[in-house]
Amino acid sequence: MLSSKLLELDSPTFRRMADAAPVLMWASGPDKECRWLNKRWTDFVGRSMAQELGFGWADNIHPEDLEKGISQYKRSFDRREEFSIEFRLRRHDGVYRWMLGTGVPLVSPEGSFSGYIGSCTDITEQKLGQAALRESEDRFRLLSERAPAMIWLSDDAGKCVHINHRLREFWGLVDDTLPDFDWSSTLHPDDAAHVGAAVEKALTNKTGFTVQMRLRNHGGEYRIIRTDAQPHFSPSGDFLGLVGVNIDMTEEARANQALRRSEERFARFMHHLPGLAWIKDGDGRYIFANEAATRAFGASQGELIGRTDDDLFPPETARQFRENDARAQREPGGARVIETLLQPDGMLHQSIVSKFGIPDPDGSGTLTGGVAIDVTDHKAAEVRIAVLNENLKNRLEEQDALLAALPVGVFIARDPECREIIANKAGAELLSLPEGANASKSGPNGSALPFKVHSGGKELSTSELPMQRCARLGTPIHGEEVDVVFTDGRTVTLHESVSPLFDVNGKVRGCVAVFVDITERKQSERQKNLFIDELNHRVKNTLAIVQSIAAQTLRQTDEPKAFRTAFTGRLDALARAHSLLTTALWEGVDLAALVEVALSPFENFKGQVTVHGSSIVIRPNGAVTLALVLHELATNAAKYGALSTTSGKVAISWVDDGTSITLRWSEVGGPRVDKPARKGFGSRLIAASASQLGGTAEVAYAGDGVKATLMFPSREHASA
Amino acid sequence: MGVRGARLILVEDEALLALDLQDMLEDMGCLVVGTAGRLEEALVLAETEFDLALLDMNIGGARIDPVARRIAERGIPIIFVTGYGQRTLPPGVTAPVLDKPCSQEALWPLVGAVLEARNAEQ
Repeated sequence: MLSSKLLELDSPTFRRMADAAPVLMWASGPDKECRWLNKRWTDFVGRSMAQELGFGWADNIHPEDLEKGISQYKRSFDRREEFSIEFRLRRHDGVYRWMLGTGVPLVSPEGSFSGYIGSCTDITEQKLGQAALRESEDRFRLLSERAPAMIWLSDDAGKCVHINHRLREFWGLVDDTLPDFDWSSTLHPDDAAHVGAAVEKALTNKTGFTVQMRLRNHGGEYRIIRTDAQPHFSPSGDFLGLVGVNIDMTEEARANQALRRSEERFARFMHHLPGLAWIKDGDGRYIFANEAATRAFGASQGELIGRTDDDLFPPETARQFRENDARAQREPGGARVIETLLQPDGMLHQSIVSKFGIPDPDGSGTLTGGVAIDVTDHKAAEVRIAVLNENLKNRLEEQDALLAALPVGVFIARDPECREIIANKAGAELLSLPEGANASKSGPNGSALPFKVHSGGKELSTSELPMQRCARLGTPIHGEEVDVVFTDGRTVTLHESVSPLFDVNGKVRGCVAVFVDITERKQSERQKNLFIDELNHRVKNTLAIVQSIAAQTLRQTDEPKAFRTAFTGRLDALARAHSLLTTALWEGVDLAALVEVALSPFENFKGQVTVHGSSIVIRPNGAVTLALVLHELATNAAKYGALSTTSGKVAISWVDDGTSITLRWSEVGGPRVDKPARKGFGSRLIAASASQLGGTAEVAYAGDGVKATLMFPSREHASA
Repeated sequence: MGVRGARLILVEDEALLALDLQDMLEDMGCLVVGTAGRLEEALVLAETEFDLALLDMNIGGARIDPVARRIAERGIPIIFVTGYGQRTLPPGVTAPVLDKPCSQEALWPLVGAVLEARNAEQ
């Protein structure tokens, strides 16, 4: 309440002051009528003082505010109260402006009331600002409520004043619990310190903050939340608090972790890959290379990454790689090529390389991936294999030719039961089978084969056959002999050796056999044995004969000279008979030849001897004896008989009447002979010979010469 | 009866050997009562009376076995003479074997021993 004494409304000083004031001023009397307005008022409304005085001013009040304004003005007046009122006042240009009107009652010190004085301030700008702010806040809350993010608002002390729908859902809040809710109780204890510090700092400095923390949701699960908070201020610049957005990063974190693991796996996988693997970016720079690749390229990871083939390799090599990379990008399925690279080991390596485009997620062009397998060794092996194959082919040809040319039977069974046995040409011939026929007795047509197999005179059963036995037992058989008896009666003796064949697991898979026809050899062996026996016999026999001749000669002679002459002569006769028999292969000699040989030392008497007889073959045993007999007769004749004189004659003759042979020795014209007193060696030998030959002998000493006759069966000792 | 006067037969297909053996036997006092050079004569001889037979194991290419068996059946001792180490005795016959050529020094003690053994038996 102002004292009217202090305020002389009508004083020129006041008026000048009031007119200079930046506000609209008014004064009214106790009757509530306006009695003064300052110049600013009349200028504002663009009316004269006269128009405004009394209740003229009411014409400028906005109709909507008029009634309320007038009644409040009158009510305050009646109670002599200060008042303050907002209303719209029409300006001179017809635009209503919001005004804050105030009024103060004027009371004198004595207590007399003299009216009111007041001012009006244009508050349009403030009014509009507040409305905008309100509207903005409403809009914010609306947006916030509907936003698909978790949004909160705090006051300048950090207390939450708004938690949007999403965030309420997160925490499971209902409206009732909201006022008592303390969000920090959901913060993971390990995060409390750093989050608290960040919030504190933001409030103090009136700045924003970003933190990542774990918040427990309504389900009790801690989620990884990133909070971005910004300070917010009033239009007048006052710090109002923080507005924040919470983002649930849990899935992203998990995805990141999964990605990290996946990348670790990839790196690990690549590290252990025996082949080379790399990735180049769109500009051909290496962005990844595994261990094998860095080794082969002769560059460390550090040297490789970010470099191009041109930086790393000789121009020709780089060009090769680049062209293949381009091809891989052109072709949808990538490119599969052979690349060569001189590696740090000094060798030109060849690799099979798969190159392929990889779309780059960053969109900065397409990557090129490459996977290579070093095939240098394979290539070398291929060459070796080709050579081996060629050799093998040649060996097989040689083997076939060899098998065909071999004079021995070769048999091959490729199953452990030997159900099929194939034979080479000689083998088929050996068994009288057509070439290519199955030679197995245990095969499907085994019983139809035209032979049986014997061993030791007994037929062998199928399972006892050499090949079948070898394959069954898995042990080789060496040098067995079997007789193959053919249905036509022929028999051949086979010498067989069988070796088992094993598969990679050591199981018998068949066998190979070599069969040699030893029929002839067996025969010749038998002959040889017979011959050796015969030779032994003959040698022993001959020695025995020599011993006998010596003994007999000793009995006859008294002095050494005579012994020597007689013994040598007899040995010569024996030797000549042997020579003749040897020439005739000990198969028998012609009697005429035997006589001639026996008489050969008596060549001087040839003219005195006649020989007459048909061709008769004498067997060896008898031939020796006969030769000795003839020798004794001739010696005797030369010493004492017909050949001791030039007129004497000897006639030797023989006849074969088919039953017996009669050999005659007849001397004539020699000295007279008498029967000796003692039986001499010659006559004893003749008698013994006859006995040996199974015949008889007769020696007559007729006066004109010795007559000896020997008769023996022709059946046993001679052949025509 | 001693060696002297003992009756022997001789089967040998080699005339000269037969002669020599006969001389040696006779020199020790034996009587050679028969000689044969062939199997059929030997079989006839085997049936005659004698005290000891000297048999060549092989006669004209054939084994002496039938002759030896017959003599053994009669309980008369045999001495075999073999030309080339053939020592397979005929089945069922036990007798000493002499190798050809046989010497007097080998023949005499053997003949003596066999005859003495025969005498002791009788």
